[in-house]
Formats: sequence, C-alpha cells, structure tokens
Amino acid sequence: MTAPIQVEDGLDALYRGLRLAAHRQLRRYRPGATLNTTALVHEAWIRLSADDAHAALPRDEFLKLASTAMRQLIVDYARRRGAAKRGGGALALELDAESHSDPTSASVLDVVAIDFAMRELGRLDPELERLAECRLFAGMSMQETATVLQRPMRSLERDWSRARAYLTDALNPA
Amino acid sequence: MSPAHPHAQEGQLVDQWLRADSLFTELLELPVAQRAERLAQRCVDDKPLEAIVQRLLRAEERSSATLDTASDAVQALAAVALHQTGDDGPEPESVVQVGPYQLVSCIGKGGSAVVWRGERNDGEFQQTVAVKVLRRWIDSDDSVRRFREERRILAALEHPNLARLLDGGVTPDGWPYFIMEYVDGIPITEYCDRERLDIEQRLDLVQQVIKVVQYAHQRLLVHRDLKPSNILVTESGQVKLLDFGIAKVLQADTDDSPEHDLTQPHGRLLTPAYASPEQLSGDRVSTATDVYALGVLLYRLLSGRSPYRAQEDAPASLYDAILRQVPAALSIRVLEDDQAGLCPREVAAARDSTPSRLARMLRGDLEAICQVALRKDPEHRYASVEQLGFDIERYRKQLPVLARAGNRRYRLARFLRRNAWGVSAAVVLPLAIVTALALHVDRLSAERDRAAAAAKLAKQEADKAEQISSYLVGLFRASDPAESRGRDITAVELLERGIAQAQAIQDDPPLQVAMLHVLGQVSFALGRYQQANELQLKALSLLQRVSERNETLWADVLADLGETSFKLGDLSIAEEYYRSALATLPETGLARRGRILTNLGIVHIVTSRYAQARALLHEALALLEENAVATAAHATTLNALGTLLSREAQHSEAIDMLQEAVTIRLDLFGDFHPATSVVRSNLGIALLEAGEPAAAELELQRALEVDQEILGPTHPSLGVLLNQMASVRRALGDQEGAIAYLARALEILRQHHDEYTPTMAAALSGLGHTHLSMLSFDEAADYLSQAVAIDEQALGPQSRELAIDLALLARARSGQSRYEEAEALLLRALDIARGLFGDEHALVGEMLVQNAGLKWQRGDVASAIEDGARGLAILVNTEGAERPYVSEAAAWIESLSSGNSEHPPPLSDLLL
Repeated sequence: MTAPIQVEDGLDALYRGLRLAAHRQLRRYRPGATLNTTALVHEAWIRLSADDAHAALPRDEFLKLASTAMRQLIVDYARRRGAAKRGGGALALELDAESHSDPTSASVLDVVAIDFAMRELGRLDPELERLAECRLFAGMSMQETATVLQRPMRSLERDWSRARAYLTDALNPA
Repeated sequence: MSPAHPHAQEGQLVDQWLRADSLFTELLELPVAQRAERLAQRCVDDKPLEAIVQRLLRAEERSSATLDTASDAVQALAAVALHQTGDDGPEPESVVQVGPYQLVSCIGKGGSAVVWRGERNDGEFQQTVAVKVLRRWIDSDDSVRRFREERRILAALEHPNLARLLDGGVTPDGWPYFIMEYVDGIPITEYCDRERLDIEQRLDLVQQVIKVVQYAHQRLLVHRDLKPSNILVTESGQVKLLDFGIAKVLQADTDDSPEHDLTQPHGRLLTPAYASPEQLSGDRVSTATDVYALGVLLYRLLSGRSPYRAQEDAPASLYDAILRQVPAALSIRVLEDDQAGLCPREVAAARDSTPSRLARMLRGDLEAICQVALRKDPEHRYASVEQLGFDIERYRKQLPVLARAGNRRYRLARFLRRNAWGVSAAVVLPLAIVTALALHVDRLSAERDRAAAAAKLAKQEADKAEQISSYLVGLFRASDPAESRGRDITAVELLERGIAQAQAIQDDPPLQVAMLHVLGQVSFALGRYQQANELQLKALSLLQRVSERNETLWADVLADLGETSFKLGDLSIAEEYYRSALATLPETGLARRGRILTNLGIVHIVTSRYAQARALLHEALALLEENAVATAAHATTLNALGTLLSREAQHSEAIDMLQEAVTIRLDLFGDFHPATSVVRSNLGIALLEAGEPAAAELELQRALEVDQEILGPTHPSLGVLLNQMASVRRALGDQEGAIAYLARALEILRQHHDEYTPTMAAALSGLGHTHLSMLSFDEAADYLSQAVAIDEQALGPQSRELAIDLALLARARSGQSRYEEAEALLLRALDIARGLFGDEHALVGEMLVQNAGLKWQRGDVASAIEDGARGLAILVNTEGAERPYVSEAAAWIESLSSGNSEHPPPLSDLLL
C-alpha cells in the first residue's frame, strides 16, 4: 500500500490565512470593493499566530513573507486572467459574478506591468524591489516598512524616491 | 579593425546607468531647489548622463499619480484574486488526463503541487505512474521553453535508486506537470522503525541515499528538498529518491533571478524541519544544501529526533534554532524525553538496542559526523556528499573519522573569526577573471602605443584580443540562468567551459594558442597553478606547429610558464623559462623584457642570490623607466627591489621604495585590488622587519580583507598573506593568534597541494617559531625540521630561509637540551648567512648572540662573552641599540662580564 506523498508546504497556511482574512473583509464590505491589503495582512498574521500559540513567526518576518505572498497571489491571478483574455487558456475564469462588470480588467494589465517593472527594479537593486513590494502589495506605511525591513527611515525614504522614479519611468514614460 | 563589440556597448550602458543612479541618489539628498545646479556641475561634459538623471528627477516629481494608480490596481485585484484563488478558483485539481495517462486517484496535495496516480491502459499494455501537477502558471513561450529544458535534464538522470522522470509538459490549460515512475514504498524513517533496523542497517540505507544524491551532484543537480517523504523504501528494501530537481523548477518559475524569488525558501518557513540555514535566509543553494539535509536525515534515523530541541510544529523557534543553535549532541539527545512523546526506551527498541547502549554507540564519531554535516556555514560542512559517505565508511571500518579532526580545526577557525576579522560576505570569484582579461587587454593596448616598429604587430594582437574578449564575454553570456539552470556559475565552471571550447577549436591554430594562453592566465589568476601550467604547455606545443612565427606570443607563453613554475615551487625550472623567454623576445619588446627581468630577479631574491637579483632588477627598472614610469610593471619592479633591500636589512630605503610601489598601484588599480594587496603586504613585512609591527599589521590587515573578498577564502595567495599576518601577531606577542593564522594558511596550502613549496616551508617555519616563543620545544623542533627539509629541496643549500630555519631549529634543540645538535645546526646557519651577507649583517650578529647562549650553557663563559660582544656590536650597528632585543642582549652580556651568569640569554624577536 502506498502512503500518500506529502507535498504540503508552508505557503499553504499562509495563503489560507490571507484568503480567510480576505473573505471576512469582503463579507463586511460591498462586493467589488477594494480590499485594504494592510489590514488583510495584519489580520492573517493574528489569525495564524492564534491558530497555534507555538507557530508564531516573528511578526516582521511574517509581514515580509506575507507581502511576497500577496504579490505572488495577485500577480499569478492577473497573469491567469490575462492569459484567458488573450484566448490562451481554456479555464473558466469568470467564476465571480461581480467580475463581469469588470472594474478590474484594466488592473490586470497594470499589475502584470507593475510586476515586470519591479523585477527590473530588482535587477538594479534588490532592496528597492523588496521595498516596493511592501509598499505596493502589502500596503504598508513607510514607518511599518522601515520596521519590517529593519532599515533606518532616512535611507528608506531616499530609496523609496529612487524606486518611485524608476517605476514611474518604466510604467508611465514621459 | 572590426567595429566596437556589441557587448562593449552593453557594458557602457550598464556603467552609464549605474553612474546615473549614484548621481540621482546624491541629488535626492539635496533640497529640490539646489538639484538643478548640482546636476549641471556634475555633467559638464556628459550630456547623455545629464539627460538620464533629468528624466529620473522628472519621473520622481510626477510619481505620486502613477504610484497611486498602481496601488489602486493592486488593491482592486487583491479582492478578486484572494477570493478566487480560494476554493472555487482555477486549480490543478481540475486536470483529469495528462497525455496517455488518466489520473485515477489523488495521492498527495500541497501548496506547490498535487500528485495523482495515473494509469495508462490501452488494452494489452498497462502502466501506473505518479503525475505531479504543479500549482504554477506558465504562460510565456520563454518559461515553457525553460521548463522543457529542465525536464530534459532531469529525464537524463538514470539510477536504480532514483524514481525516473518519464515525461513532463504543460497541459493545454497551462499547468506544468511531471510524470514519474510510481514508487510503492514508505518514507525511510517509517521503514526503519517498522523494520526495527539497527544502527548498522540504518547506515546501509543512508549510504544508498548518499550514493544516489552523489550521482545527481556529479551532474550538477541539487535536490534542495531531501526529506523522508521524498526518500521512500520499497518492500524489498531498496531506496527510491523522488522529485530530484523539482524543487528547482518550482522555484525558478518564470523569473530569471531565482535568488530574488523569496517565496520558495521563505515559503518553507513554516515547515522547515529539513531546510538548511541558507535556504531560510534566502542565500545561495548548492550541493552543500543537500549535505545539510542528509545530516538532518542521518541525525533523525540514528536518534529518532530532530537535531534541534525546538518543536517542529513551532516554526518560529525552529527557524531560530536552524539559523543559530548548534545541534544537540546525538548521544545526549537520544536519552532525552522528547516533546513529541517519544521516550528513550522506545527509540532504542526501534533500533534493536537499549538507551545506554545506543547512547554509547552514538557518542564520538557518529556525533561528530552529524555535527560537521549540520554546520551553519555551507563552506564548513563536508565538501561533498561523497565525503560524508566516506566518513561514515571510516566509522564502520573503525578508522579515525575526519569529522573529529575537522571539528578541532573548525574550533580553531571559529576562534580565528571571533578574534581576527569578520567573515567575508561574498566570494566574488568572477572578478578574478575579469581582472585577468582586463590586464591582458590593458597590456595589449600599452603595446599598441609603442614605437612605430611595433605598430603592425600590436594591431594584429589587438584584433586577436578583441576576438578573445568576445569569446570570453560569450562564456559569460552562456551563463545566463536559462542555460545554467539558475545556479550561480562559478568562475571555475566558466574556465572549464572555456577550456573545453578552446580544445575544440579545429581549424585555427593561432586562435587556439591565443585562447589557451589567455585561459592559462585566467587559471593562474584563480590560483589554479597546476592547470595554468598545463594550459601554457599546451599552448607552447601548438605554437611549434604554427607556421607564422609570433616571437612575442612565444615569449609571453614562456614567461607565463616561468610564473606558474615559480608558484608551483619549481624555482630552477622557472628560471630556465624566464631565460628562454628573454632569448626569444624580439628587440622591440622593451616593456616585456623589463617585466621578465623583474620576475627573474624575484627568483634570485627567493633563492638568496642578492647581488644578481639587484643587477637584474636595476636593468629592468632602467628599461621600464625609459618606456613609461608609473606603470603596473614598474611597481612590480619597485616592489621586488624594496623586498630585496628589506632582506638586506636596509629598512628605511626598503620602506620608501615599497611605499612608492603602493602609491603607483593605488593610482592604477585603487585600493580594492589584489595587485595593490601584494605590494601592500610586502610593505607590511618590511615594516615588521624594521621593528614596527603595529604599522605592519595595518597594511597586512587591509591586504587580507581585500584578497579574501576578491579572491575568495581558499586562494593560494591568502596562504602567503596569512603567513605574514602570523609573523606580525607573533611579534606583537599574540602566539595564539599567530597559530590560528598559520593553521588556516596550512589548510589552504594543503588544499592546493603546495606541500613542497617555499610558501609551505614558511608556514611551517612560522609554526615552529611560534612554538619556540611558547617554549614548546618538541613541537617547535618538529615543524622546523620539516621546514628545513623543504627549504633544502625547494631553495637549494644556500638560502636565507634555510639559514633562519636552521638557527631556529638550533634554538629548539637547545630547549630540548640537545646542545651538540644545536651547535652543529647553528654553525651551519652562520656559515650560510656569512656566505650570503658577509660578516656584518644583522642575521650574523643575532646568530653570534645565540651561539654565545649555547656556549654559556656549556659553561664556557669566556667564549660566550666573546661571541656575544661581537654579535652585539653588529646588532647595535645595524638595528640600533634601542630595539628591545638588542638592549636585552646587551644587558645579558653585561651580566656575564660582571660574573653574574644566572640568567639564560634572551630570545630573539628579530628572526622572521
């Protein structure tokens, strides 16, 4: 008899946490409303650490990880949808009734472009990419980002200006 | 001449971009009003730079709107994305058929993949497979291509202990999948406990695992995810490894820079039982990562427990333990009650043993083996899984295991790191290649500027240089992650690739020679002297077959052979090569002649033929100064002359000259360059010989920092530097520090098999000297006898080093109360020193004082006073009366003369 091959990995719990938090938020708000990603990430953190008292990752570690996971989830989704719209995929993507009235179709393209620009940014300086991830995808404040990345505020502000300039130059060239 | 190479343009672009970024960053620090003015100042004659920075400044000004839009887009999508990727979103579970296989039942499910049992049934032929569908979205041609490439490589793996990869692809819906051999087995840990295997039987299984991992490593594949659920054992007791290389595919995704994709290593954060420190911190994954995971497996199979006392289901504390805690000793751990509820009796019973017997068995060797495999720093683990396997075999054959010797060395190394310097963050080997290339091109362009007679040749060479450069640049190109499968390509791999390509050149002998020659230089820069030597020899033998004779290239190859032979410790052979290079070189090659003369001079210094060395170096200096002052080669000659002066105890002249050499190199290469370090280290030694150890330490410390960073921690040049640093620490009275440096130097030298080189002798001599200072005469005598033997072999019967080592050995013998031997050794030393330097050299003076000590031991006070006074006079003359050793010696001789001969003579601090 074969034992099931275990392919569980740690992202599961994290994704689950993020999703649960999202569902709760969405119940509270109108469908189609935008999410407050900061609140989301924090809620996921509280949930997961409450799940198992021992499982508490250091908060900053968790937030850093969660912002990467958020980006992954959102960009993955955008790419799937993008593929479907180009007629490339056969998956039924329009599962969500609300998305027919599609306030998000422009966002799909934007997010893919943002992701691409951020990767380019990472080539210039990986710190900038991480910073942009915290700010854009986890919606963290500067103060919060400084804590999570353990960076002094002054240099973080300077880097944020750099990141903004490069992203703007890439996304919206003059 | 062909037009500028496209790669060169690309390089310029990158350079311009980096300059723009740094200027832009600088401007951001200023108040907005002042930016324009500063920008104009900085870009007076660089309009393109100004344009880029201007563009960035404007982008920054209007960035709020763009960033707001971006942020809105993200937030808008977040809601749907998180909602949809929940239970009802597109999932790989929707896949029902892959190729000819029908997916019949789900056998595993997780965050990164779903595994199915697949069956193919076309009437007569029935086959069961495992199908792993990845939760990854692949939608670009490029990533599909990369995925296929990866699959092709994995499919080529064939080993009885490896679950074969049968096929793979991407479903029409975009889900990548792998089809693998279906393995009917259970995880290795469960199997061992179920069968109640004893330690020996468990080690058998581990060896099977090691063999198959080794098989894959030899094909440059790292598993990255070794854990019991990936290591199954079948009913017949055969190990089957699953998922080789798949973790890599999962990680690589579509990005070309896997180290930026933090998801995977951090994704494991929550269940990291088998993850290595480097995976948790997102550092480079290598074969050492698998060594670590095998260490955890071994630990668990032997003790039934995790190496860390942290709870496995408590990621935060486990995470911390993996990064920081030293694993608990096996033999202690096995006696502990585990939080998981395992009691020692059960654990022992599952191993067909009792707790105390089991603990006894694990104590010592097996414990040490686990510790070495589980070290935090990948570089400190077993160098390969094969080495881990060997050590387990040694344990089973009751031979001493390397891990225990290694552990002692490791503790030394840790001491060293704590006390001497921080660990260098990154090893930037490829820089060495770039440097070699740059030097080559640099050399050729210098040649181009030479007199008109050389112009034609220079042009040919420049063309060749360009051809070679583009060839080498091509090698770097080929190291893009698609081809290297995301691993960091090391300089050595590039080099090997280059060599393979050079050897494959069929129809262009001149190009092949030039390639082998340059690759030999690269090899040399990487410290691979034996290989460099072979490459140059190959170039030489090909040159003989090239019809059009290129004397300059011929001479270059010969000169390089001289350098490799020199580094390999074959001094007389080096000398011959240099002489033939000089004889071959055309009249016009003045700068080259100067360089070769310098190298020949250095051989003469090392073999203590100082007068000839001086003549050669002066000739070189004259040629170089006629050519152009303040070149790199000029600095080399000054460096050699300075070293010569220092050996002749002309301290202030030596220091001046070396200082000038440092200044030239600083101008040419900057501080952060091995070429500057070399000169700096010689300056350090000259300062030390002049009695200024503190100043010496500053120079050597800097040289060491730079070389460690650039050349990496095991380059042979570091062996020399560590040696020199040890002399400084000894002079400062820090014997332990000196020993630690020397231990590291010896380790490096042994790694390069430099067993019989002057450098090795110097390290052994240093150890002997240090032990003398600690009054451990037996050890000192041991090391110094070895040093003497190598000196005789490598440097001949008459060298300064031999004289010094003989004198030191004499002191050790005297410490062992073997006075007659001591006297004979010292007389030989004196003889050599007088022959080399005449009667008035400081070394001679010092040996006379030492001899006075020996005579005093024998009770011959009158002769002692006579020798002592003679030696002292020389020392006062050459070193000055105020150096501590000289004044101590004076006081001692004074006490002898006044009839008070209670105290032994002082120990010298002059001999280096």
